[in-house]
Amino acid sequence: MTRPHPEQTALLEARGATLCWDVLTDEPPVVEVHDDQAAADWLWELDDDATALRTVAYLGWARAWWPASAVAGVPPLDPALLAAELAVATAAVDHLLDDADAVERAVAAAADAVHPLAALADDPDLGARATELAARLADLADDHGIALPTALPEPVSPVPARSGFALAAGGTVGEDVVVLRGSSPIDWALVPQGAVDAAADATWAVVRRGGESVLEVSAPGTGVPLRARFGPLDVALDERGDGAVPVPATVLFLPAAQRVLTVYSPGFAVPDAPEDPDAPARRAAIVAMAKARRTAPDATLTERAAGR
Amino acid sequence: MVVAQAWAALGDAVAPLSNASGRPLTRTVKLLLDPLVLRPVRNPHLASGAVAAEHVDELRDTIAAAGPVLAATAAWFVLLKKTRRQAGIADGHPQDLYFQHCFELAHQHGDPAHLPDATAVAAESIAEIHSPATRLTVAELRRFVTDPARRAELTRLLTVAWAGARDPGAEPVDVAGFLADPDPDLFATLVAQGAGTRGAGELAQPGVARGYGLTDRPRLSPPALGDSASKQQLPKPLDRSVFERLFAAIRQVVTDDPDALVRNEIHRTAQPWQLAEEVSRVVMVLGRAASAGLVDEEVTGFGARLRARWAKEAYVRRVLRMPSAVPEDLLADVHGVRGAYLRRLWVRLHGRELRHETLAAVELWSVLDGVLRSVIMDQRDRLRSTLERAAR
Repeated sequence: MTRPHPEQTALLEARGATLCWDVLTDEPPVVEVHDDQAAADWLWELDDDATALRTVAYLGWARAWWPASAVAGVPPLDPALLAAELAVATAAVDHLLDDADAVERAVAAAADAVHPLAALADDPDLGARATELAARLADLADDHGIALPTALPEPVSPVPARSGFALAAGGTVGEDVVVLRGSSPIDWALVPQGAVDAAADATWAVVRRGGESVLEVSAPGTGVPLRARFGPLDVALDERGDGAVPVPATVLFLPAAQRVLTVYSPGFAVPDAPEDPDAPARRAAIVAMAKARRTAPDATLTERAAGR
Repeated sequence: MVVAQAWAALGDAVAPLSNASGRPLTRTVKLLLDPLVLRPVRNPHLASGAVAAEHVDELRDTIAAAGPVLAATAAWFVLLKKTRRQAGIADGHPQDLYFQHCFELAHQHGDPAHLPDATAVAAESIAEIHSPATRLTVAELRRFVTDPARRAELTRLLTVAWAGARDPGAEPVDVAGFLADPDPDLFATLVAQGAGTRGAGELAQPGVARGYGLTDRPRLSPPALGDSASKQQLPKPLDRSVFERLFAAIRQVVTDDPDALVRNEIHRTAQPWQLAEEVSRVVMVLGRAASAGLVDEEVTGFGARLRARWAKEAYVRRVLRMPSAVPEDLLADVHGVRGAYLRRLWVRLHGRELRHETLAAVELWSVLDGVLRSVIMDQRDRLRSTLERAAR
């Protein structure tokens, strides 16, 4: 069996073996054993633990790849709630994990969840689950000597209001003349989680303005520093994901294959990989899957709370 | 699987030592079941992993027999946690700190529910566990080595120790057989043969220790005595001054006597692999052979398992959506993973020596594998921190 593509992989590092589920299917995991003796202890009963293990792996996937998108109607997940669910799910399978400190790390990373969990406590649909999750998290924190903050008495918004995704504007207004324009999807692998609207394209336009040519770029960014490449040009984008750079008129003669806009996050990735022809279909499938999750019978608390 | 069944038979009484799946916690296994109940060092046939069919009953019986004491241990743990909360203590990891202490209390007093002054015993235990240890501090260590009169003496001692450094003399021992089939008796033989010392011989050749990532110098030379250190800028292990070596391991130091500590460290630096015990040196030789797999040399057994762990790391990082633009210093560690591995192994073994901890043959794989896991985790942590920096 081959590993699923990283963007659709729910991964669990178990003792002696790595399990990879494909989030787009219900297939059993791809198992890669690196220590046959350690894996022999538990691999035989994988079926018994599969649901609990897949939950940990799935939450890990959501943390890395959840395709939040205003365009596609996939609300962002609250990272703190997600961390709390991940901590509790991790603790349930701690006997199968490779990293003996996995629970401790996960609980420490979930400390911020106290407030959103408290805010959800009175929710008619989610209150019971939120209260139970908070209690379990507190127990784990107690067991591992991790201090959780005290919940605020004032209820706070369950999902912190994100600034919202700036929709790619494209083109321009006023006296300028748009000579050429286009759009390109954003390669998820070139930006960190949450940096862009996962389903929106980045747009570009070559504009004549006061006798000069300007390349205008707009990416559906969320405040993470971004840059964009267009043929030989490299443009810095501002907090809203917009950028412009004067260009020689010869930019119009770039072959169509080079008139591709590549958005990336400097310090995170370098845009040097060839285009992946499977990416659009794969990402569309992931976005569709995520969109359906909120109402799925096995949706996590974080998924249910998203967008409320 | 036998352990899981035997554990399940102990029922709710051991729930505080179990996870939500009803299995013993990782630390229950590591701190209680393995060292105090199953004792694989004394009973290698009960070591975790595949237990032969003829020992299954013994394994099950051993756990069942420990049921009452484990139940009492669990009850003591709950009581100690409560006492800790009441005392307002937030330091340290309760499982790490209390599990073995609770096991002792369970042996001594049985179930706390049947002990009239259990609360007082618990309070006393908590006070004892959290009392400030009489441990050497970095400041005390620095005062000791910077005393002018003593410094001259220590410097002389360093010169003498290195002047007497001996040549291993004998040929290296081939350890491939042990890595392929880690028989505990064979480990004892390797130690008795001086396989660690003999394997250090090649370090005297120019560039060899540098090739292993243990030094930046072409040739090993006596360390400076030193009087300062910075956690962020520690040189490679064998380039560290005597002070830096002890500074880096100060938490492992169990003595409050700087004199013996510094003298022993000076002596240690002049030994093969710059480690004092033959067991440590044999582990360096085993680590050197096993880690060859990380740089694509032909390996089997332990080495092949290390390679298999490392081989999937690039994929795991992509799955975790970690930065692919890696900073220079980290890139050096990723490409030079074998050096990072041997450095960390050396540091672990040095720490073990300072803690006066023994190392049994059955624990070897967990040490050799644990070092690679730790190198990988460290690299991931550093990648994550570049991500946080980039987001700012």
